[in-house]
Amino acid sequence: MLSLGSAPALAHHANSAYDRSASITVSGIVTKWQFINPHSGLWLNFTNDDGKVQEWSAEFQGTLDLYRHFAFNKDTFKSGDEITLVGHPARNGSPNMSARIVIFADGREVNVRSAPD
Amino acid sequence: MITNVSIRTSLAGTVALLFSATVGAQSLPDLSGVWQRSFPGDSSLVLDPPMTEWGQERFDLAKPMHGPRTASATESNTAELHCLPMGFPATYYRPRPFEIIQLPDRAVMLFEIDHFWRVIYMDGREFPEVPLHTWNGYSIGHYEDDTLVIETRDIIGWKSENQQRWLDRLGHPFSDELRIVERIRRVDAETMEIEVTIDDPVAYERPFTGALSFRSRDFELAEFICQELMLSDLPEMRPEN
Repeated sequence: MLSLGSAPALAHHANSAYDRSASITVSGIVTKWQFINPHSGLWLNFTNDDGKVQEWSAEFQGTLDLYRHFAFNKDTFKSGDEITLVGHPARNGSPNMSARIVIFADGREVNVRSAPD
Repeated sequence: MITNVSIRTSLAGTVALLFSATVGAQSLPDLSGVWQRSFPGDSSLVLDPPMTEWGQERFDLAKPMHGPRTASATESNTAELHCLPMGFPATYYRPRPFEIIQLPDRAVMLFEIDHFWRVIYMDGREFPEVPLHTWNGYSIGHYEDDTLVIETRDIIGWKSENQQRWLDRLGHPFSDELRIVERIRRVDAETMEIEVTIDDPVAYERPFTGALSFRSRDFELAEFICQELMLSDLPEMRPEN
């Protein structure tokens, strides 16, 4: 699944690499999880209706915000996991996003931007 | 030996607190604990710092990643992108927590970011006769009633477009002549304030003062290594917000 929509604008980085007024949903198979600072990254293989595979990357917060508030660690995502991500798309149109909500295969949803920070 | 007799409860609006510690016979304000900024990272100490021509020229060359002049990670020349120490007060603008430990002859700040520490000597010493300029400077301090007063000098200042040194994340520069006075006090159980006075006659026409506020956190410090940025495969890696 890949869909685009609009979301409330967040006044943060005026020139951010991501369009925070837009929302995108990408579902796919995890290929890599980099649990590092200052930002973690998750890579997914997304298969479109024609069967063509495209690799997407998603930017997350650093390790400690994810660990303290959501108990994420190096094993939260494993290659082969089915994951859906909702987030903000890159302004330059590349297959890259800023992750906001993670939906795991068992239906569990985590809004990773909901940390009290 | 420090005896911490601070009592904190926060049940349904009832806050009972007693902030004091004793070092020998001396009563000290209790500033110990983990703190994290509660002010925006894209702010500055004052709205328009009174820059000299030297300061303005360098401010114009700055390409920060926060505030109204935000540049992309590929265009920015912020020291954060090189994971260089930011000095003070700029380090406080990062969202990472730090811990204050009070000892009889010094206070120590432990920073989660890059696992670094800052010692504030409180044994009555003066600044070194021959200064050794460092990224975070040399700090001596003393207590005035409920306030820890820190003076910091000998900080490596702005050198070149490739070695930017800023007071904040907006690009306000400082020189080797910078002297900082911090007045740290606990406002209430959950809040600490650091009033910062900047005195840098090279970069600013006159000294100016602003206040930063911090909130108490109930977790322990962990490890946050900025240089992991070099390992990231993400397309545009940037400092954290």
